[in-house]
Amino acid sequence: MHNSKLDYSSLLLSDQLLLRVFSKLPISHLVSTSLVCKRWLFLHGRLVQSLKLLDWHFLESGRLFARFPALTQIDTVPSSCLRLAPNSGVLLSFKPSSFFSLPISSSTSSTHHDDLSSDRIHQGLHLIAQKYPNLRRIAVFGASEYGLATLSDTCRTLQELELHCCGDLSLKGISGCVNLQVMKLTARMDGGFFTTSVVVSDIGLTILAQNCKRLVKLELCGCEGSYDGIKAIGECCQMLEDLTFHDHRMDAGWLAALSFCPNLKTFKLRSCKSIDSNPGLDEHLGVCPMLQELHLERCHLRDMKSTKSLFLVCGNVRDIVLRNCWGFQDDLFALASLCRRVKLLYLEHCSLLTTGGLESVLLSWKGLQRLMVVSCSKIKDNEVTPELASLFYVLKELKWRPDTRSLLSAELEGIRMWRKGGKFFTSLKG
Amino acid sequence: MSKIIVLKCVGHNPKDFELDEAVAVQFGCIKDLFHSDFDAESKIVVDVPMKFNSYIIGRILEFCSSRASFSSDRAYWEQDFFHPCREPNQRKRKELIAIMEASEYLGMESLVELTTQSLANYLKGKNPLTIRSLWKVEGDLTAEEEAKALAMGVAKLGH
Repeated sequence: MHNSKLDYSSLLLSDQLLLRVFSKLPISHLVSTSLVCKRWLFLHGRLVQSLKLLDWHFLESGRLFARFPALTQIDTVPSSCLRLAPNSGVLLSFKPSSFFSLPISSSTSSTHHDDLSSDRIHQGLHLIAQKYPNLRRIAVFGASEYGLATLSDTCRTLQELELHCCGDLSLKGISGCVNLQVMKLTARMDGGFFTTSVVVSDIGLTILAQNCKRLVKLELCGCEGSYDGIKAIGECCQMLEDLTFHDHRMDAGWLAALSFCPNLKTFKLRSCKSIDSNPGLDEHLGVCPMLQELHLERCHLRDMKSTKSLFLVCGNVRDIVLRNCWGFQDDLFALASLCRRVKLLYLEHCSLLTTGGLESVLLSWKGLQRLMVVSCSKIKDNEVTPELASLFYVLKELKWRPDTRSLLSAELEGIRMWRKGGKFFTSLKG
Repeated sequence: MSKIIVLKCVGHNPKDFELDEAVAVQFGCIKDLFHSDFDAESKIVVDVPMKFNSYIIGRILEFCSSRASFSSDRAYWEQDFFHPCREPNQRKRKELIAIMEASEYLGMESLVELTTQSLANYLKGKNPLTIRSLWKVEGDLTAEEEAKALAMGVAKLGH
C-alpha cells in the first residue's frame, strides 16, 4: 500500500508548479527555500526579474544567464564604473518596487583593476541582447554607438534606458529603440572616477528626439544643448509628460523652447546652478499648455529675470514644489503669483522666505487647496496674520512645520480657530 | 440528453467516476469536449494517469461538488476541505502534493492556486534542513555554494 519514499515528494513536482509555489512566498523567505537544493536554487533564479550587476565577469562568464534566465531589468552601472572589493558579485532585487536586495559573493578571486574597455562593454551588451531579447529596462555605463546599436536592434521591447557617460556619438546607436518610453541620460558624472569630456549637445538631443518618438519621461543630467535641441524634443516626442533637468549646462534661451512640449505635465529642475542666463523677451516665451507640476530642488534661484521667465512659461501649473533652493527671497517668490492656477504649494528649507512674503503670494492664489511648509526658518507662527489664518481654515490640507517648536495650535486658539483644531492638530502630532 | 464524462482511474484501487456537465466543466482539460460534435447520448471516457489514484480524484470531485455553498473557494478549502494547519503530517503532505498535481493535470486553476498557496505557507519560515527532511528533498549544494548563500547573512542552516 505504501508507495516508495520518493513518491509525492517535491522532487516529482514539475518546475512549473514549484515556480508557482515560490512566487507565492514573501521575498524574505525566498533565501531559505533557495538553499534547499540545487534545483530549487536555479528555480529561484528564474523568478528574479530585476538585477544589479556588480561584477562584469559574472556576465562575461555566462553565469548570469545560467542563474537568471528570466531577467527583464538589468543595471550594469555598478559593475562598469565602480571598483569594488573582489568578492562582490551580484546584487539581487526581486521586484522593481521592492527594497530587498541580497549581495551574493562571486567565486572569482581575480581583482579587476583594468578599466572596462568599450570593447568589453560592447561584448557584454551583445551577450545581454542575445540572452534577454525581451529586456525591458537596462542601465549602461560608457556604451559605444555599436554597443547601443546591438542592444536596440535586438531588444525591441526595451522601454527604459539609463545611459551614463554617454555622448552625442554614442546616441547614434539608439535608432532601434522605437518603443522607448523612459530615458535617463547622463553626460557627466559629478566628481567620481571619470572626468571624460563626454558631451550631449543639440546633436544628441535631436538624434534622441527623432528616434524615440514614444518617449514619456526624460531626464537629462549634465547635458548641454540649447533652444533647438529642446524644441526638437518637444516637436518629435509628442507624448512627453515628464521632463527633468539635473545640473544642466544649457545655453541661454532654452526656456522658451519648453512651450513646444504639448503634453508636458511635470517639469523638474534639480541641482541647477542657474535656470537660464538669458531667457529672452517675455512675449516670446510661450506657455507650456498642459503643465501641472513644477519641482525645483537644490537650485540657485538668485536671478529675477530667469525666475520670472520660468514662472511665465509654467503659468498653468497647479502644484509647485520648492526644496532646498538657494537665494529664494521674498521678491523672487512674489513672482510665483504669475501662476494663476496653483492648488498645491510645498516649501521645504526655503530659509530666506519670510511670513510676509509667503502671505502675499498665498493670498493672491484664489484656488489654493493644499499647503505644506516644512523647515523654513524665517517663517514664524507669531507672524501669521488673521487673513492668513482664515486662509488656513479653508484649505483641504495643511502641514505647517516651519520650525520644530511651532506652537500654531496655541496661536490659533487666540484667534478663535479652535473649532477646527482637529485638522491642525493632526499635522502637528504627526 | 446530456453528455456524460467518465474518469477512469487505474492503479491500486481502480474506479470509474461519472461526472455530470456541471462538475466536468470545472476541469479545463474536459471543458473542450463539451463543445465538440459528439452524439448527445455518448459517453466519453477519459483515462487518468496511474499516479493519480482514485482516492485523490475522489477528493477533487468532492471539492468540486461541495464548494457551491461557500462564499469563496478559499473559505471552503480552509474550513471544510483541507484544514490547513501549522505542521501537516506525512499523510497530509502527500495528499496536498497529489491534489496539486492532479488538479494541474485536470486543468482546474482555482484548485492549483489553493494548493500552491498552502504549500507556500508551509515552506514559509522554515530553514532548509527542516524543509529537506519534511518534504523529502535531497540536499545537493556544495559547501562553496552554501557559503556563498550564507554570506548573504539572511539564511542560517541549523548545523
